[in-house]
Amino acid sequence: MKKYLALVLALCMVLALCACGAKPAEAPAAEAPAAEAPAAEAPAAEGWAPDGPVTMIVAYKAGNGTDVTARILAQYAEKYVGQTIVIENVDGGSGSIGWSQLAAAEPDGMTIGFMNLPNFNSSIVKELGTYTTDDFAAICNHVTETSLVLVRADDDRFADIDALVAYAKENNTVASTNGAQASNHIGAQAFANSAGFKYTDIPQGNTADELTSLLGGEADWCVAKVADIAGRTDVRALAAFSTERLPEMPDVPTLGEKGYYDQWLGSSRCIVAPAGVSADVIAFYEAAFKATMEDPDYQAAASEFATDYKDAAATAALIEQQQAFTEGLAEGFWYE
Amino acid sequence: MLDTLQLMGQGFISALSFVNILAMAGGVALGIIIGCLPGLSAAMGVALMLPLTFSMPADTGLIVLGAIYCGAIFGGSISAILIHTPGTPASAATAIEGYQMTLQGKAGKALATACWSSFWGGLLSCISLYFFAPLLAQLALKFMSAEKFWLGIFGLTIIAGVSSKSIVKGLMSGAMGLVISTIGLDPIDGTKRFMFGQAFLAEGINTTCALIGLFSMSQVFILAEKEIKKRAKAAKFSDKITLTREERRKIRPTIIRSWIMGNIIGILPGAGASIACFLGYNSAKQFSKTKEEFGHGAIEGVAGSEAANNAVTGGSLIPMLTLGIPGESVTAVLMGGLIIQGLAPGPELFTKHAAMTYTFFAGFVLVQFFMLAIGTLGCRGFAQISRLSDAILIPCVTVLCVIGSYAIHRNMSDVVVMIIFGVLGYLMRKFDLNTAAVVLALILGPISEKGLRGALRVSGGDIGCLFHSPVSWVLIILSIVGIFSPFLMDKFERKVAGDENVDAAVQDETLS
Amino acid sequence: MKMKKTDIGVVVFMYAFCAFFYAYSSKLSAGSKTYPLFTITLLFGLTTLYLFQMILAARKYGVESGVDTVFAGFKALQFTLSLVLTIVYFFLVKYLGFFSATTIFMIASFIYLKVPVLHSVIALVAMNLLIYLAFVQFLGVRLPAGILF
Repeated sequence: MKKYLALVLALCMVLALCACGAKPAEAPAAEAPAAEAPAAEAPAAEGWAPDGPVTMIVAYKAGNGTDVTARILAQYAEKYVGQTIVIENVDGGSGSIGWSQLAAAEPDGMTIGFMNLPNFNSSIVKELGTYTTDDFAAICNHVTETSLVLVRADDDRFADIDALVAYAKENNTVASTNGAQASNHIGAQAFANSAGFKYTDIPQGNTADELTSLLGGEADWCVAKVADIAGRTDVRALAAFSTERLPEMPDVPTLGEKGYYDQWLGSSRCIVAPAGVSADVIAFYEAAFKATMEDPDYQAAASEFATDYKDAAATAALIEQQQAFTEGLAEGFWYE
Repeated sequence: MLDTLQLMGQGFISALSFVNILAMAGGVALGIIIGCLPGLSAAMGVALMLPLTFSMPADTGLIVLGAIYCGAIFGGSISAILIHTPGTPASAATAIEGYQMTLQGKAGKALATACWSSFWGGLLSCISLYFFAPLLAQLALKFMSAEKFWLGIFGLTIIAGVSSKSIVKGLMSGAMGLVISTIGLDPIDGTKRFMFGQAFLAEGINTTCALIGLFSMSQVFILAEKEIKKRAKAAKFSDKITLTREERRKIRPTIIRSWIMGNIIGILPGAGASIACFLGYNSAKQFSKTKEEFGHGAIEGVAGSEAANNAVTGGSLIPMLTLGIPGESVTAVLMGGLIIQGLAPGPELFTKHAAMTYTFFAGFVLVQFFMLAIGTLGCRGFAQISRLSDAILIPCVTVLCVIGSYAIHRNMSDVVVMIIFGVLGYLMRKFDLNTAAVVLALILGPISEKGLRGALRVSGGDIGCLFHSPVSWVLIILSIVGIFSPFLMDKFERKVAGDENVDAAVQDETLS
Repeated sequence: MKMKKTDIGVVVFMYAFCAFFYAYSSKLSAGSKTYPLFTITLLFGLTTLYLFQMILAARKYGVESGVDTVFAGFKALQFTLSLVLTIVYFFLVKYLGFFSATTIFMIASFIYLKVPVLHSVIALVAMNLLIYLAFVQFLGVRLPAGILF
């Protein structure tokens, strides 16, 4: 009996080792067809192509929302970039460590990275890093998520956004946020300012805890992004921070049409390179990522989040606009 | 009910497919390796494997991630026991007794205890996962700011229990940890606090980094100050990875206590395995019949910590799966994996996607068996490390400390922090201060500060808000019991013993 | 238990620690100052409590040096050298790259600690291999690279 047991255990161990050994081997196997592909689908830009693995810096932890979307993009982009794309997570300092590293990277096109708006802008305003928007060259936009005003699904005090505003003007409401002056706090403040009421914010540090605070009844409402509530039935969106109604939730009015904050607000994840890269490099990646985001395989894999391609010029404009917006918040936006 | 049972049974059948078995074995082995390397946490392991699971079927993908999770939580104990280097913060408390056992040549026994209690902790936590998930998930929603504050306070009361030499010095260490935990951006208004102009301190001193310094680097210095012993330990060395029947019986109550605590801690948001291991260790000590063994290699201490941290795994899945509330970083990553597979957490997982969910559960149960098997086999080899001479260990552990602290953020600044904490930890251990208390305070400080200030903000500064909910009161009572139990237990036991001399001696020990 | 003289050092360190953070906290806004001040006060109070305990112990049982028990068998040179080596190692990693620095550091330590050559070589290869496979190959951690590999 003991012998058999030992045999079984030994077999498990062998299997484990095989599995261990198989995993690193899997990756190159998956790359093999990718390496052949560029011949057939040559990127539009002729001038430049990477001659080794491309590093993409993500300024957040592995497994974070940005990281997951970045990894999916990288997986499918290898076909169009023609090289392995290595996602490097350089987290810490509210993203500023990663962006500092990206700004300081050699502008040879071998290192690019993700820039999260408006968190990136906040890090400049808070002086966490020594970089400015000029230290980066925009390539394209990857994901855009619009902010929403949320309440609990079973909270019958707030049938619609007007009911929330009316209630908030009479009573002091509590809104949870994903951090002091972080994206969802900016949203909550912009909404409250435009509707003319005051509220108490409780920063929770991240969106998951922010939603928990809402669900647990500590907060009355909060602002979060579309992807944060994908598939959830326990929260209800009252309004969107958008200029037009969102295609995925046509019943949800925009704040603007109800007479409140009428600008778009949310977060964007752009792909940028350190400033000083040649125009060829920008053109190469712009075309490669455009092709990736139009790839049906990618779209199937990325159906859960809002891919939103914007070209380099539009992305650069977006970065500047968000920067101006975030800097503008310094005066008169936050009350005591 | 019958339907559910049928689904559970089918879950086991599909979990036993060849691919899934391979996934479990591979995942556990990988998890153990990730776990035992310092600086690579369970969350990091799961996150790094996540992209590979995109292309797998949902159940297999989740099983791989679950297996890595369990394996890593257990794996952390291996390095904690052998070289006083907790691979993950979840094994910090294991190092206290486990390393003492290694010094006595009982590394094999310590590893066997860790393996056995991790197995039971993980396995028992599946009970709640299977039968009480929706019910227990509600607990997570009861945890708002005030409750988090009290949870932090309750956790801090353990310091009194883990301080072996002097309670006041233990509390001093804890208070010092609390001061250090205020470094970084203010969690409420976002202003910079004690950051010395360093952006990398914005999120505070990294706990893992401090842990590596306080536990491992300080150990290197302690080894380095003494004359290098030449294989002195080898004489008494035994590599048997087995427990006797008596030993199993001895740790049984400890495992059950740790399972219950770990399971509950797992469900609560913001807590996690790193707190559970200290709670488990502390309760093992308070309830032990042979308390004098603690600090000198108590098998119950290892069991208490390891059963508790693995019991967290099953518990932490509950609010994530049923409510979409990830309680800690690992489950946050797992939830990401779930969403990528097109499965939104919530009731639908137990209705529409029940087949997948129960396969995952079954896989989670089976993973525990693989962990026991691979752990027991692998530990035999690992135990040999304890035979190495200190001269070899000193540079090797230093290298591991440096790479471990570097790998957290790929940042050399963290290595500087690690070395500073290494020197600090060395001095603290020399002068009978408590490094574990600092780690505990670093973990709990931010939770309680955020809880306290959040609660006061909501109530407009009214302290009364801290005493409103029944959950708060439970935690308050537990905290009071926690503070006084070391004293009370002493008194009680002395009454039982009725020995006046012992009485005086113990009194001295607790007060000096 | 006698009072240990070394504990005076501990108390002084804790007071200095409090003083430093207290001075630093004066720059903070009122809101974010309260909690750190609370923790500093806590540490201050506990340290003072310990000071009283020390005085009591000194009166009741007398004073002992503590240095001889705490530092029994202390090899100053060996300790200082390993501390210095660790710090040198840190700078080597920064400027030479991780693997070359590790190799130099380990060889230097092994020679100083008189580890047999065979053992040194095995440990050196095993460590580098472990780190290369686990961190670089498998987890894709890019280690600091310097002038050399």
